Amino acid sequence: MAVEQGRVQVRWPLDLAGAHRLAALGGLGALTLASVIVLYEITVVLGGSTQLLVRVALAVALAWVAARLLEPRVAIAIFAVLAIGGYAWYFAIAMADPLDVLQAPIGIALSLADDALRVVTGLSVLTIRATDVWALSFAPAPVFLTWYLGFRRRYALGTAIGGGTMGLFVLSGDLEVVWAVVGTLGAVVAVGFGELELRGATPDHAEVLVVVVALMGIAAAVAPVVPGGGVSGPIGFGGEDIADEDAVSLQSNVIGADRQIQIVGEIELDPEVRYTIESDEPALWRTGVYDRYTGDGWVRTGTRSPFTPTDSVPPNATVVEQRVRTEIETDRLPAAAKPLDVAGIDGVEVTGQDAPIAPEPLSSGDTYTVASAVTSPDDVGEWREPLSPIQEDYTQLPEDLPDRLPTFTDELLEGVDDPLDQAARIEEFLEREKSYSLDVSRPSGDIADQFLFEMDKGYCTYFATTMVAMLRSADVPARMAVGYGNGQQVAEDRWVVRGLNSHAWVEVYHPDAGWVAFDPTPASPRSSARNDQVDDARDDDVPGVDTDESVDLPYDNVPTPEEPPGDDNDTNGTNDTSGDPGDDAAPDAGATPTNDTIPSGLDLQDFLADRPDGDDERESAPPMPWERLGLLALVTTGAVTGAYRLRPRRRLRRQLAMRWQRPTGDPVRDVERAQRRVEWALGKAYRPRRPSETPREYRRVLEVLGAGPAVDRFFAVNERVRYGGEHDRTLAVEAVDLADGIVGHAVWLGGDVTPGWAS
Amino acid sequence: MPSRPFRSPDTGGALARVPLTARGWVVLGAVVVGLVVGLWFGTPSIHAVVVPGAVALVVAAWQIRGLERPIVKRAAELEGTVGERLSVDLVLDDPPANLGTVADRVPDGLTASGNHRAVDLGTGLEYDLELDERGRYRLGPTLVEVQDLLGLARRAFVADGRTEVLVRPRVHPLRSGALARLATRSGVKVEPERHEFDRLREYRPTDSLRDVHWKSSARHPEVEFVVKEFVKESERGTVRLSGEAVDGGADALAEALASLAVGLADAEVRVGLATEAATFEPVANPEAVERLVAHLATIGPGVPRERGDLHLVAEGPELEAVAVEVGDERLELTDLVVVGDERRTRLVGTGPVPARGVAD
Repeated sequence: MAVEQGRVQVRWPLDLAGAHRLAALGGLGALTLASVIVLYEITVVLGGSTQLLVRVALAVALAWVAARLLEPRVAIAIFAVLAIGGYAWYFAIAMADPLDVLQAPIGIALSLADDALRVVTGLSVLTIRATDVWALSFAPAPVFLTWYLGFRRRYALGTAIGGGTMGLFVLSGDLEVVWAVVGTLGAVVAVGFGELELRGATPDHAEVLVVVVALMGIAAAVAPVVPGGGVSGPIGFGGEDIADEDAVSLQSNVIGADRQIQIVGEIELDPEVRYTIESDEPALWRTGVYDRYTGDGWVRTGTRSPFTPTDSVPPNATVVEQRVRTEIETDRLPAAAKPLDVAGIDGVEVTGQDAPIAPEPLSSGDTYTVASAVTSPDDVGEWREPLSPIQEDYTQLPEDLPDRLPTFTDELLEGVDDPLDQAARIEEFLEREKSYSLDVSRPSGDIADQFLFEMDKGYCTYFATTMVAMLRSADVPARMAVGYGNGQQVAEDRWVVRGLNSHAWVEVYHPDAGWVAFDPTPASPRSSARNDQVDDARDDDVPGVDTDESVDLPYDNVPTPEEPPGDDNDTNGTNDTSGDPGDDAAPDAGATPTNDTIPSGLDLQDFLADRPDGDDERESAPPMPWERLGLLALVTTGAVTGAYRLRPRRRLRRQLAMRWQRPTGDPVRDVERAQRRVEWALGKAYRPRRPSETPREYRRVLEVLGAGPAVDRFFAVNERVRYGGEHDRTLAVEAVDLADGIVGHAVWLGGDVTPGWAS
Repeated sequence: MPSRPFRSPDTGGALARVPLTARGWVVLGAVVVGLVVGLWFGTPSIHAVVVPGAVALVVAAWQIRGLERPIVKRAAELEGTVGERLSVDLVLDDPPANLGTVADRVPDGLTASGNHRAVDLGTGLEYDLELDERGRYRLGPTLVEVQDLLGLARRAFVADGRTEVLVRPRVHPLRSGALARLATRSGVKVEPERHEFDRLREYRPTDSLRDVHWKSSARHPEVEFVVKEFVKESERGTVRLSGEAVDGGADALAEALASLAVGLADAEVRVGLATEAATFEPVANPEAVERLVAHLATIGPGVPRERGDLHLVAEGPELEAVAVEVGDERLELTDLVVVGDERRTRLVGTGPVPARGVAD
């Protein structure tokens, strides 16, 4: 506090420019947060979130020091070292053999470019190999440069770097709308207040800026002008933004070579025929495999490579020949796992998980043949050995998976040691406990956790996801397979496969047999649901629902008296009550040890009731609509600032108060008010007195600018009355008169307070 | 900050006439790319970028709409002495409620710092001017770039107002014995130094504000102001100065003549002057001497039409190379004037200069 001119003035810790700077850096912080949140969520799924936050904090600290000590050139060198070093580190870890990088730099560059292109065209960064390592290596460089520039007051450039980083995640679709809005408004605040700080601007501009920022936030919330963006209601400020974005995403994943599955709520399946498959045996026709579980969906990592035929058949596997005729245009090649050879298509590729993909979409009527090695779980021997790093990729779980799932799985698997036995038990448990329904609403929170503990019913994606999560929590390598169930059997060795046969199941790793399929979805209700759908579609004359072969046959037709061989696999399971040999003869429950049943005391509700606290039920309370609160805060701030800025009554009063003054008889008060009026008028005629200027300095400037002797005389009188101690009414009256004249000239005559009109 | 090259605003192709800054183009590009990408790939969060970007562009267009060439108010004239530092104040008349950049053109011979700056147009621009070389200069015109809050759009104007700057040569003090030395040769009467002015009297409207004696005014509240009155022309002798300079010697000559003129006038000697450009009859009042010094700000090399009592010859750029010819005698300037003692170098006419009107 300082006493000045007889008045006590509170000295704020920040002057106006300091406040502007603080706001600008705060905007930069929001922008950085919007990018870091994406990387943070990745590392929550894949591990390393603490390390990520530490790295970001270190980058900001380094930027602060560098901004003080280092020239831009040096800082850019540091940025380059961080960026290149980060990527080198990423490659060293992400590549099986770092020497590959040296041997095939062009291939590496191409795969980098491929990754980048995929990401900017809307594929999650989760599809990048070793995304967690990538996130850790990517984060520090742009954060450092953004904050170096910010600390150096180059807010616009810093915003460009930070905004570019955020833009990457917007394009990849990883950034939630709310965070994208936060980041964008942060960018605006950083640039805007940066400009104000640079210019030593008056608070008026800050008020306008706040209103503009609020306007932008509101516009972004209520005007989703871009198709595809924020389909449902006010962009993400609603509760269920992407849930029903694509109600057929399961099918589209099966048709197209998508890298991601977003698990959704209610779905309807398409009754159109997609393939006709000729095969020695029925099988699950697999089209894709997903390895990375994000808590709300699945992602396929790795890149495609050319398909290499093999003739090494695992022991105890059966070779199944299939001939597939496509009835729609597709690049997916359904085939029983695991394909040994594909004929009839040139240049077949495989995903990182050995699922074949056509290089170009096949047209309707094309055919190809596949030879696959199919392994049934009961044909595989015992297995117990440590996991290799590759297998460890298939035990990944989100960091934020509630720990009641592993705990429950532990109890469920008590006394079962063999991984395939464990898989069988989980499969049996899910089939028994949960019922089948396509009509579910997508839970918020981790899908596996929610399905296991909070839901009674679901469809294949829920069953398979939950089973993989449970297996992984028991350290059993497992993954999610998608494709088609058997379909409608139209001849002894022919099946018609429709969109509604889309299916998802589980593959469990075995070192001898490779990947072994398990299907936790209850088969009978699934099959009857399909039967009904086909009947309905036939009644409605839906085009494409039948081929020439299938049109006259009921969906659950059994064409020959002999049982199809595939059905043998179904004889042991709990699901063998359907009498439905045509559907889903998966090699599923074959290994279920009948003598090794689920502990009788184990019950989901009891398990939950025994849990000490509601920790796990973080999603059971309705989610806090903080996006709405944020929007509301933004609207309120904007409105209040706008109203304050306009403040019509205050303006009018001020205008009147500045124009007229009646002497009160207190000379000091009169002269003080006269001085305010004169400074207001002079501020209009010339320029306002700067906060740093004393009245005397201001007066000198006015003199230079050509203000007349009346102004001079006024200041002289002012000094005499206020500082010279001459509390003389006559002087006060003179001061008011002079002020009237000055204000009159400045305001009414709209011009200079020129010499010659007074004194 | 060195003054950046003064760009003329209305040049360039069609794109250059779109009032967007580089930053504005980046935002426009981001909005367009965002729209295309959103249409193409259905990127979910893209409108969180596109909509605020579009709002920013609309607000920018609105903020710089319908602007007219601003009028810059500035002092018509400024005066100072070589080595002095002046403050130049530019104020926009009826300023737009915008941020912007103001650049004032400053000619060679003056060094400005901060004459090209990003400012709040409402508060104008104030910058420092260092007076390096004597002469008459013009400051301006002024480039005023008006932008929106975020610096996305900008319009530039050239405002015509000028400030004339007179930079007088430096004045060095006379040596203590100088007057005596001259007196024996040219009839200068040497009197003991006395106060500059004679008496104080009440202010009259015709008086210059510069003559107001503030201390005394404060002591005499019964009158408006007290004005110092100067001694009437006295009979303390007359000296006609003249000078010539070789090429490159004009600065030295101007400094030497100014030093002698002011030194003699301070001793209340009537001083006349003849240079290559003009001839002044002897006068005594200080304002007239200031006019002589002002004239010396602009003299060049060459020979005067008349030769005075003291004739100075500058043979090089140094003051040491100036000779003073008195009758048949030839003295060094350094015999009469203290050279090189910066602390004692006088600045003539410092302080506020009464404005003679406002140039628009």
